Amino acid sequence: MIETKDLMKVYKTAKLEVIALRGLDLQIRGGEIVAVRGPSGCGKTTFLNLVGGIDRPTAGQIHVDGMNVAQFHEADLVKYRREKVGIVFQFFNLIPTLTAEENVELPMRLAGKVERDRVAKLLGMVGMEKRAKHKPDELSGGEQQRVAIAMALANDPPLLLADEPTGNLDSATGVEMLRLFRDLSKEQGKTLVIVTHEAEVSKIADREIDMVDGRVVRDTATPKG
Amino acid sequence: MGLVSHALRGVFRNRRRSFAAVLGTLIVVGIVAGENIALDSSAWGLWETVSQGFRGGAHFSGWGPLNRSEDLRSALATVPGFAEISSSAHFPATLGRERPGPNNYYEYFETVVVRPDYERSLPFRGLRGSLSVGGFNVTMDANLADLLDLRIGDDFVVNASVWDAGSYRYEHFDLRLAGVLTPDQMDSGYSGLWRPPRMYLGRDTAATIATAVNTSFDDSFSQYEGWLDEAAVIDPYDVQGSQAALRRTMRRIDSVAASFGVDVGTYTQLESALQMYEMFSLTFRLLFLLLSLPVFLLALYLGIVGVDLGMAERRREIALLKARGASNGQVFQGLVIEAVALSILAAAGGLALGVLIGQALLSFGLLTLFAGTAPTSFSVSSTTVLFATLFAFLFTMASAYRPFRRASRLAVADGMNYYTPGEVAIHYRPTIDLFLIGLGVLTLIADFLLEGDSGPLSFLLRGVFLAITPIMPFLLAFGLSRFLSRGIPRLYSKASRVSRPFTGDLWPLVARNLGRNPRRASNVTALMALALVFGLMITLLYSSQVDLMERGVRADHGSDIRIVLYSPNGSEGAAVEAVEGVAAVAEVWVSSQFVNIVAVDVREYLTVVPPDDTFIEGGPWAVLDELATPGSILVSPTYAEYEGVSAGDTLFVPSSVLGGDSENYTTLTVVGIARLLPGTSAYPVLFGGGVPPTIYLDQRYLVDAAVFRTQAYLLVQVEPGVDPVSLGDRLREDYPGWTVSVAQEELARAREGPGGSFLRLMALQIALAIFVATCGLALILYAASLERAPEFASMVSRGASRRQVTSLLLGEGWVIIVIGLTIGVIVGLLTGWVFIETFTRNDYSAIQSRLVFSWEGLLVVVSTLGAMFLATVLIAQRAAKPRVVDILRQRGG
Repeated sequence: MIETKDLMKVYKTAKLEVIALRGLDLQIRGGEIVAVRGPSGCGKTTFLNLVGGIDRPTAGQIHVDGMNVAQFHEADLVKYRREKVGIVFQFFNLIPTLTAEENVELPMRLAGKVERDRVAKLLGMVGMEKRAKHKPDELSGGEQQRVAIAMALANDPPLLLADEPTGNLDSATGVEMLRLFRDLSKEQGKTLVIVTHEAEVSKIADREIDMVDGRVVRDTATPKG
Repeated sequence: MGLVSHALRGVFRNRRRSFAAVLGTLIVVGIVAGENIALDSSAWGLWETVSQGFRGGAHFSGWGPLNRSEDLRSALATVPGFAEISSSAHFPATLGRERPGPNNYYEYFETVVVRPDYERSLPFRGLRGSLSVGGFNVTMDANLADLLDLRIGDDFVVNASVWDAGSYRYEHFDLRLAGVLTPDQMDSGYSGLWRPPRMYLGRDTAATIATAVNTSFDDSFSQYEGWLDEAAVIDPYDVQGSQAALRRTMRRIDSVAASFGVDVGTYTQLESALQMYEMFSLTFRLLFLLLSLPVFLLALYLGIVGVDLGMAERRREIALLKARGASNGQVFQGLVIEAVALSILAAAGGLALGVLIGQALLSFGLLTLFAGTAPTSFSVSSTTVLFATLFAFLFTMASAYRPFRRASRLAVADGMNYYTPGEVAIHYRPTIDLFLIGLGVLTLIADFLLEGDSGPLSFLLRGVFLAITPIMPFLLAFGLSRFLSRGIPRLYSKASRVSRPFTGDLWPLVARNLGRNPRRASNVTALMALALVFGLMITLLYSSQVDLMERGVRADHGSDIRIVLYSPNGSEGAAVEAVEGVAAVAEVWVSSQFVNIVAVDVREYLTVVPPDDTFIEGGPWAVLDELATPGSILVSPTYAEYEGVSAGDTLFVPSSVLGGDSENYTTLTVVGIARLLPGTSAYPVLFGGGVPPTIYLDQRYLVDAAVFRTQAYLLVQVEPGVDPVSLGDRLREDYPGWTVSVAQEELARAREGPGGSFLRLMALQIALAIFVATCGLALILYAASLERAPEFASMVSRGASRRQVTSLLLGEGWVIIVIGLTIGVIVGLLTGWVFIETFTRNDYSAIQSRLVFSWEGLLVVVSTLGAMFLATVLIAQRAAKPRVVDILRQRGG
């Protein structure tokens, strides 16, 4: 599903250059749950942003379902983000003026195909059907993240990317959230890439990739108990 | 000190925020400085205009012996500010010229005998022809030459009368006018009083005349006339200093002259002129400020919005300061220091902007209404700099005080949690806005109801409401826009549908975003509505007045040209009709008895005067056809009220009304009430005046037409393609005794007058008002785009295209524009209409004012719409390029 070749990303500021990815080569199969781990600044979020089509690589290729995302024009990237990827952020990034269901509906509106039944179904799937009419500031962190997951699934993308989805939650809620990810991924056959520090993630991941200094230093299949 | 440097760093490091905070003040200071710079630069022009009204401003005069005149001149030359002195002698005989006409009379005038040194006066006077006054050649003041109908080279006869042994003796002399003195400044008589125009004789001519009339002529005692070097004494930039210099100069001249036995009148009108100049200068500065007041208020509002936005952005920073130990007072103090620094920047920037505005005012002749003359030099006085600095400080403080107080009292926890604003629960209390709306509506109704009511209570109430009326449109626009946009939350959800052309299915997001911070959206709505009301009111009133004026000119002329004949002989009409280019002529006879009788030849009249129903009260123009029926008349509204008649009534009047004898009576039928038959009024109706009681009838039914030929008007219709102005000139040349008035010339003159300058000045104010409103919208959208960058980034990451993000901001801007535009246009048109209906209408006036929506009004609406939409597009375009990764990373903390 995902294959990167010699993927490089250099951040340039006025005074210095920071190399975030140094020729990353990686393959992720469809339906796989992959945990990307590593110390702060190792390039894991950069990797996720590049795969998610919200940033462009400095060099290298990113193939998702055979398409080289790195060479996409802006319009292709918009279509890609709408149809192929759902991103879940650490800080949820919900729209504060919209209710839970309106937030879930937003990606559909952006894609021009609102399906109200699907919105209700997604909210039910993440256990938020009773909080559908609430706005983000009326929801707990865990609830907001559930809404964010439903939002990521709105247009039924085959690829789910989660950037430290439990980083802003207490540990119990974090574990609960990881289980939700696992269930959704397995039930709906989604490919899931989770960037996390959470040790618990090994319980749900098929593979664990450890990154240091912009490179993969370890790629381990996780034994399932 | 630490606080000062922290505050100053804040000002200079965040230039965008500082600019937003200071923008309103910058505009105000720019306007104040610009207007004052324009006036500073016109100081000499204004001085010349004002001092022209003072005859002999730089002139002084005195009497004394002649024998030491050269020594006197040499001594005076040492006095700084003295320019020149010349001498002349009094002529003992009174001279006059016979004026021919029905009542012959003599025009007497003052005569002086000039000496050789009189030539020294010429630089101050301007001479046409020559001052060679020998051999019965004379020179005279220009106004005397005009009075006597004389041109240079003309020979004429004067009459010298001399009191001789109990009776007057007369002698006639033939003289020739050799020159005319056309002084820049008419010189004054002794003590600065106006003196009659003079004729100047040479000594030999004077001696001949004096001998002929047997009188003695002694020229050893002379009148001295002197001039000051105005440039050395007067400095319009230093009135007090000029007055002191003037007094000093006059005192020195007086004391030097006294030592030569010459008694100089120390009075000079320059001092009065200086006082008048100072008053005018101050008045113009105040007048400009007054005319700019609406823009000032808008800019103050913009300033508050700008500072408020900056404070919203800095909640987290302020909370951090307080979390680390800063007190409310310290935060407030720091913000005030920032405000002081900002006001200094605003003063400097405003002065720079003022130079541009000043140039614009001068270049487009916007000062001609006031100063009358072109600027002499571009200059900025210290008063202007002080004025600009004071305004900068006051406006910055006025716009910053409230937001600063609020920010300094911010709860730390609230500020620290602040990332992106959610919906702001504003506690809106509509009391003030409802009061403003109520007062505005009450004033509107009162203006209508009390119009024409002359009871004492009505008079008192009308006075009160008249005082409120000028601000009534602004009360309505401000109150309505705030109440509707804050007090009725559904307004945004309903109005957001208008954004669908831009946003498509995303329009509900627009409603949510506007509802998120209704105060901001409301502020822009109010700014826009106020700017539009101001612009529409001015253009509506002006275009309606121009329309009134143009119809007034047409009402005065009736046709293309009107000729006034004071002693008509009956042949003039035919003579004019024979002139090439004349299509038709209608003759109007006017007789003033106890009532004005205006007699027209209806067929001729209807040929040359274009039909206009507005001149006939309650009836069509075609009612004039009925005048062809014997005994039919039209009457003026004043006559109808005086006699208590209306259309259809009959009048039994003495035949003398129709030129017959007063013993017989005749019956006349009133077929209609005519406000005026165009071209028949003895007085201009240019600005909506009425006509005295008048009867209009057909000439053919007069008993004796000759009675009515005391005064006549010829209404001339010009052939198509013929220039009426040239034809008018030709008629003036061929018939110099006639008063020929060309409608086209009068229209051009009326349009060129002060009204045009006023409109140009107000156009600048309107443009600034639109600019202020546009800045308000741009600021608020820009702040929204910054605050909501994480949201936009989040949407982009979820599949929003750049166009979709743009459309959201565009939609928000568009909804605000539509609401502001609707309120502004409705209130502007409504109040403009009320102004016209209640203040400029007069039941008796010949021409009724009407509301005219001109292209200027349309331009105000279109340019407001265009400017605001353009600002929205630019901001939206910018917001649509979020650096998604960077923003989301920041968001992550």
